Amino acid sequence: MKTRKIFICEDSFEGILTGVFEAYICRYGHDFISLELNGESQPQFFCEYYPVAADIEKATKVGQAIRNKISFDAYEMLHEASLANQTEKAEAIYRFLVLGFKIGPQVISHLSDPYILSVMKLSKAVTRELQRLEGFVRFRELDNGIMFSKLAPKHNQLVLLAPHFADRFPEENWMIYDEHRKIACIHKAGRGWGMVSNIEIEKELANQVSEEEELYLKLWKSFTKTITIEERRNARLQMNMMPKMYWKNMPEVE
Amino acid sequence: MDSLLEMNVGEKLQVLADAAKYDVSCSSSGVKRSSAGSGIGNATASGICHSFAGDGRCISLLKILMSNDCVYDCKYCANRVSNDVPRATFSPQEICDLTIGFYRRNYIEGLFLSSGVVNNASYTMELIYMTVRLLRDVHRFKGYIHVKAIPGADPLIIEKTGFLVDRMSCNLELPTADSLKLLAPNKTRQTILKPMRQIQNRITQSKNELIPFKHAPDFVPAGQSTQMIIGATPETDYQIISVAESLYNKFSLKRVYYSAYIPVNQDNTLSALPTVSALPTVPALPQTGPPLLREHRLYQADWLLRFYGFKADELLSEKQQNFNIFLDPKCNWALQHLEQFPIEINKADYYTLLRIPGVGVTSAKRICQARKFNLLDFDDIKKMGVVLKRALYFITCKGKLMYPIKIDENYITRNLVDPKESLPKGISSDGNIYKQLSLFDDYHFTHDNHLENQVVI
Repeated sequence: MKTRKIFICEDSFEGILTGVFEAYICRYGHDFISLELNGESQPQFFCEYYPVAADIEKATKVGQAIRNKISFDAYEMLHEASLANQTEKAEAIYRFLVLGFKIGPQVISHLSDPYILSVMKLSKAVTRELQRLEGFVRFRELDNGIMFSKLAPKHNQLVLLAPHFADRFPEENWMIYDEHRKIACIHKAGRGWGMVSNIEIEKELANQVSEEEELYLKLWKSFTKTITIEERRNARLQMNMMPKMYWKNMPEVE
Repeated sequence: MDSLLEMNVGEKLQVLADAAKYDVSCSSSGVKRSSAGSGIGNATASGICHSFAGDGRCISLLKILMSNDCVYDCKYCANRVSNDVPRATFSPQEICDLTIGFYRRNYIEGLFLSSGVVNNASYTMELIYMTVRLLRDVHRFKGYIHVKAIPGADPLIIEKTGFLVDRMSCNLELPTADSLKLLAPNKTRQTILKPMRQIQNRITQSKNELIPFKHAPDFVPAGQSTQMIIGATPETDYQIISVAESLYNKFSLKRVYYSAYIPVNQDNTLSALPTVSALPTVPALPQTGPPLLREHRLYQADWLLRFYGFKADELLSEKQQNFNIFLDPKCNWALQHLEQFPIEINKADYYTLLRIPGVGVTSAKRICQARKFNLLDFDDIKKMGVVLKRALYFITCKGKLMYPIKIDENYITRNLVDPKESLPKGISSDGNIYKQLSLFDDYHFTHDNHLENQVVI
């Protein structure tokens, strides 16, 4: 029997696609290969471990192959799934691609296959949180005019959130900060957006708000309180629709 | 001076948001628009909920009245002229500042602007038009705007407003013309339906113009909606959903909203609140609080009309005029049409799948996709989102039922009633709904007989 080869990839879309590239190129047989995420794997006996460094060139090749041989929808779905906060996503994406390169665009509807279903569920989980966050992001105006927002999402959402807000506030300078992952997305008025990783935001700096800010915050709090119909009060429903994990960054429900 | 002015806006917001809170509509869906790199705002097709109030309703739009200084005297309304409540009126500029200020902080998705009738309908509509115009043209706001068409206003102003907003609505208020006459003496069915028809015709015309002229202006692109108050007058559920159905068919509305009546005024004409008793065997319900469960059933039925291909007279009839409070309308329908079940998951077409309790639009679509590749079993469809707890009584997979169950109305009903579903106080759901079980009926009796015979032989 062959020993199992396990490729350890970095936790990013490029990292996982590079892993897939290496898995194909070594021609060892898909049955004897699996992909795992860096730092998430439990070492097992009778396996060989190969760490794979993310390589943009290799990842781009795989990405192109996905778009050409499978479909753009599949590419988007895999991208979303790769942002999920889940350890088995690398393996699911790998198995999805093995089947996908074999049967083509229809792989997306092969829902009775466990890996296809799990990729679909991961991408659904990410987009569902994304939809919520598009509403739950709260900006505050700092005294230098920058609109600042702090988040702690479950999945890695900033790359998906940025285009939405770039379209929404094209003439504003804004910034969204993910305090879990220490990454931020920064937008300059009329100039587009970019990502910054490994940054720490000083609390004091983020709390220096503009004069108007207090007023609008007060108005907003009074509005959300007034709009509630007391006869229909339903804290449970409120919590279902707006889970408590988001509350600490939303001023109206503090 | 400045701070005094700001205080005023805060107080006005409180009065006018409080006055607007009974309007149900909150959706910001139906139109996709990009900011195209200038101004502020965009709109997404599915709409975005920005927060949820303490009652669990979504806060998507800044929902306010232009003014609550109303000259009408509708019995159900808190702002009627005969009530002694604080009155306030926003200036168009104040509304714009609030909207932009909130929107920049991503508090809201846009503006919902309604109004009490100031002076007369046309004057009020003009105020609304001026506000929206200011917001769109001066502030270059490209977010979502929903305004009310004030019944009786000059059609010209309504048309001009329609080119600036995403959605317009015109509240039907009460399901029948008689009720309206009784409770809203200044409004008639005719004046409400007229702007509704006007908006519908203009939308169709605008869509047709888009075919030859690529850049023809869009008229109310997200369509129109309406709202009915439930439980203030004695209409039955059957009457209500029939009205809703004809509104969808004849006026091509996007949504009909139902609003459980909350008594804000004391009035003798309203005192005759009907007690909802859906089934003859159920004792009259004690009326505690607004009829929320009834409202919930109506919304369930509304979804069946819009997305599941049901007709109003399939769900209810002259004989059964109200929804079953224990079961959702689809289960209720399925139980009365047991002859059409069980349905084979691997063969039935999409619309038949949709009729199975526990199968929704998403899971039906997934089933249709996945069964092209292999035959589906119960495990597969469970993973696709089918609620087997309800569906298992009505389906077969590969020709087999999930458990050996009886396709029998009483048996299924007993098992379907969800003990966790919140029922109004005073009703227990210990299972005996359709028929009281007794020692001397059902199969036990005949079964015993059969045994005795055997023994004798």
